[in-house]
Amino acid sequence: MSYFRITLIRSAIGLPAKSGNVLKALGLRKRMATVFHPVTPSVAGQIMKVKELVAVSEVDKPLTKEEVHQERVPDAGFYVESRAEDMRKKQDF
Amino acid sequence: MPSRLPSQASKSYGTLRQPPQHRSHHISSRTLVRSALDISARTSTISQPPTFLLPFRASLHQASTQQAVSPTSQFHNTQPEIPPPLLQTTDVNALSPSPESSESTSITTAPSTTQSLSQPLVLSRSLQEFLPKLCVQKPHYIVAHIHRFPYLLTEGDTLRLPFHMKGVSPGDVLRFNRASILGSRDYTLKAGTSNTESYDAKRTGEPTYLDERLFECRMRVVGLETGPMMDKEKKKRRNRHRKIVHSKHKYTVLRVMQIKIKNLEELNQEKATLLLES
Repeated sequence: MSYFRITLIRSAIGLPAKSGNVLKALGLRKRMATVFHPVTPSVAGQIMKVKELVAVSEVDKPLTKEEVHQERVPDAGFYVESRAEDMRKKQDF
Repeated sequence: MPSRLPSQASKSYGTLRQPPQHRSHHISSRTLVRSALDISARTSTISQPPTFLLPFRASLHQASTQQAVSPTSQFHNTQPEIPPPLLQTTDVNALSPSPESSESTSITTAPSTTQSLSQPLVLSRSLQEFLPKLCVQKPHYIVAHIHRFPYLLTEGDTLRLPFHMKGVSPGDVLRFNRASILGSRDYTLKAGTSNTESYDAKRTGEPTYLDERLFECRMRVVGLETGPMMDKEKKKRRNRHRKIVHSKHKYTVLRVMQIKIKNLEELNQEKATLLLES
């Protein structure tokens, strides 16, 4: 079963209340929020109502909130190659 | 040698590491001696033109179109004997022709350590051609990313990180494994751009990095530096109570031990990770 991955890119402020209500129904409360919904005609129709505001892609599995957050966490970019303590221990032996 | 250096180019020397007498307007005897020494010093198989024949603008700027255009046009006016492709920088995307573009992007995209190490390292033809030249031309610089923030480093630099790196102590050796640009004075190896169409991936995703097997960047933790004590008075209106908050930040200081760009032979020796397209 495939899912829609829907991200709110633009806010519905200043738009008719209908658009805001559709976003509320989709579970999109603030910008850059991401939700997952199964691919059904009703969800597709909801997306069509707010298609100017959201970015949509189709995925196989829904991600949890933590996984979505983890996508945004940057890579550390380094790792510890050797520790000074270990080197000192080696010298003692 | 005629003096063929335009005067405007001499203004951009601020970022260069090489001594400026190589590119002076009036070629003195000292310059000639030095350039002759340069030739004799390079006994390796890769024959580089002497320093005064190389393009005098370091390719530190980002735009690939400028890189391709400016050195060749300047040299066509004056010195047609040098083949133009030699003077261009090794921008992976700019140099590789369109059928190779898929391979060259696969070099450059390395989202995570485990994923990139499981994939074979693919070198495009242009990279094979220019990587040896980049390797022999020292000193190198690197734009390494720590928590996605870029730091331009050369060997011997001291880097004060804007934060206190937890879990390291002075004397530890760190390896930086995320870099977007590797370069020397005349050659630049730049990570390609990712071709993603999804909007949120564009905005929130990692920048594209070079493959970490191409280089070794070692840093030594030198110590901890502290900022000045800062006092902030907290006071509410119509209330006599006031509180002073003190803060003193710590910053980790690193020194660049080694920036090494691996040669083609070293990359070949790595087991089962290399696919050469020729």
